[in-house]
Amino acid sequence: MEEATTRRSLLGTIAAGLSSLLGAALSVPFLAALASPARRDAAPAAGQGPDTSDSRGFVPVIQIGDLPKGQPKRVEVTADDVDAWARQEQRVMGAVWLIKVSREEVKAFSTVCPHLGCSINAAPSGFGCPCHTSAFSADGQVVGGPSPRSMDPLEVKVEKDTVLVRYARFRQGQAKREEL
Amino acid sequence: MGRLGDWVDQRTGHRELVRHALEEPVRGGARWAYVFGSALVVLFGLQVLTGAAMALFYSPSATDAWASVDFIQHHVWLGWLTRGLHHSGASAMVVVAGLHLLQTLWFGAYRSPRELNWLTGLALLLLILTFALTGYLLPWDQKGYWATQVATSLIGLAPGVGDPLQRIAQGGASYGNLTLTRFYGVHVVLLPALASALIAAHLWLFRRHGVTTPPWMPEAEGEARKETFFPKQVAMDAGFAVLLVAALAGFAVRSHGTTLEAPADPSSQYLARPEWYFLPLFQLLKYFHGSWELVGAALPAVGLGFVAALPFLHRYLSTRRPAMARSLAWAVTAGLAGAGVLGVMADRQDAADPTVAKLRAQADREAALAERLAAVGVPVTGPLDLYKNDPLVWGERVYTRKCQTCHHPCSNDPYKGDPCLEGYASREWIARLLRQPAGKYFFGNSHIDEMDAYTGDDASLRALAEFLYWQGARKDADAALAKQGGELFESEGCGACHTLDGKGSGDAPDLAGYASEGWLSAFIRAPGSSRFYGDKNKMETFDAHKLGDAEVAAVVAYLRGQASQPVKFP
Repeated sequence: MEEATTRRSLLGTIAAGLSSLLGAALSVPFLAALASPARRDAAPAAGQGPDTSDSRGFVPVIQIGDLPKGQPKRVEVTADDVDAWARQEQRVMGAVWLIKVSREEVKAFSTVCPHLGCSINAAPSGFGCPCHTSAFSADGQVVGGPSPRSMDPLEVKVEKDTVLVRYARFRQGQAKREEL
Repeated sequence: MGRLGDWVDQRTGHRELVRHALEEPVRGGARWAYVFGSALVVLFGLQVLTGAAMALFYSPSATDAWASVDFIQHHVWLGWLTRGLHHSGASAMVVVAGLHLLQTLWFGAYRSPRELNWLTGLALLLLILTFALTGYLLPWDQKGYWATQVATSLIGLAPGVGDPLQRIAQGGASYGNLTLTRFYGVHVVLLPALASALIAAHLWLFRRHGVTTPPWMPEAEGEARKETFFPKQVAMDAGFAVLLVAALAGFAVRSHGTTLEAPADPSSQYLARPEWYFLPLFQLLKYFHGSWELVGAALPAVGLGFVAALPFLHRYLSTRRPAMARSLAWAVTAGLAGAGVLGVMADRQDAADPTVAKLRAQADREAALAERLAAVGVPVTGPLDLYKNDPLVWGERVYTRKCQTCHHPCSNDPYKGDPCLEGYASREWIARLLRQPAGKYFFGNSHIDEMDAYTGDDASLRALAEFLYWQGARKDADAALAKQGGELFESEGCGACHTLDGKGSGDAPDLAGYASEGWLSAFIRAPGSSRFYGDKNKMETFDAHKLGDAEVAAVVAYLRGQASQPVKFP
């Protein structure tokens, strides 16, 4: 009787062990797929793929002559891009607010609100976000509302009358500006 | 932990449920023959989990499906392993379901009152095959695309209702986005839901009637040797399942997942072959032609009907002949063996067929090419435009489809085509043309044979060839030698027929800029113009309707590239 009980308990341990092993093994592919985007070398998502524009990622957005001086203008940014597997020429990556200072100098701000990612509009005294009423001055400084930092400036240059912007996205909801 | 368990148990009674599951009585004792049912549940779990993993990335559309599967294969963490497991897991389900069926059959566990156990089991087997069929198409590669066409075309053969049924199956009159969304929906939503419900019913019925005492064991002995499902049978079941999953993983690692062939191309030549478990059906269809094809397709259904009727047949027949169970078991086993033989025959016939080997090698090459081109992303317009990622590759594809119907591959023996263009306009190719303009690899088969063969010495031949090579704006042309060749061109009388003014005389092609980009595109667009062959032209005119500008440019790039390739004929 004693021996039978020992045997039964050993078999029970084996059964439970093997079953747990099985459960763990079967979960591996799904967990790997789920966690895959968190890897450092994960494939690029939209907007971060290789592009064929300037080597440093500057893309032409508008002719300087088409920008009104001192008045913000919203301009689309398009670039060659790979979204996961899909390669597209001139995909719309986002938009920028451009403010012409002179024929050689332009300021550029991301239209993405640093608070929670809504799209920032022009307002009578600068810019404003319609979602949570963050307000920004004409030079992008936060003057009201929940936004933790000022509007995100983008690198911009003027070459042969063409305005080029290096488009980027930033982590939202924090005071520190951190490019994604 | 214990207190939490108590709390939950007071509310759900889960301990009673677990006890009920584990203390299932196994009449006659635990044995290895009983492991297949549990193994199928484990395999179903494997398919659900690997399937869910892939569903996080897969995109069911004609433009994206192939690319997303390629993405899973190359960019998702363990994606290749997941695909491999899902693929071999499907095969394993068919095998283990077959073993489960045979075990049930030989142990007589299908007999009354277990008719519905048998029928739900059979329905699950059919579901497994439907899973396999619908899943095969989803990568939208050549293999899945062409093999599935056969299956849906067979549906179309059904008398009267064939056409609407086929449309329902494929989501429209032909294959496209709607076929994929439909197959995907069926594969990942409908079938899993149905299978889960049927598995539950199958298990419920099994528990209701219990394990059948093995046929060679008296009932009393079976009762005496009875033990509970836990722990011995559970240990055996889990042990077998662990070995099975390990074998599948080993298989997937060895073959690095499973193949993804080149993207589905409706215009291509492809050798359609189903997965191995459908090979018997595939082979069967070879023996039936015309209106008999329907009979070929119906035969398996008759066999299936027999298997479904087994419990009822047994009940009816065994009143007369008590040993009927064995005869029926033999009949079904023989039927399965017959199917196996058909499958092996299909495989043998393919193995002995050089055309099959050739098409397979071609498919492998195309798969590798597509994989290489997809490394920089797949165009949003779809994977067939992938070939445009590389102009030379695209040019070769266009060339193969549009030009090779007349300009045959040089390896054809005997060669019956128009001028063979592998190695076209290389120095060697030009020199050989000059020596043998009416040879079979040049204009012999086209019967444009008015040109005299050049009989001068080899040095002059080389100079003449260099002159023509230089016309093609080649960076590596030897200008001095070409100049010498130009003088020979006049002194040897070539100029009597061939002009060098870019206009031509209608007698023979003008050779100014011969084989350059401009010359080639103009030639392809209008070979019968007076600049080229004039009235003597035998080549098809490729206007913009037949070949777009981009395609002409691609073919020209391909032909230009041939000048650095070796000549491929003796």
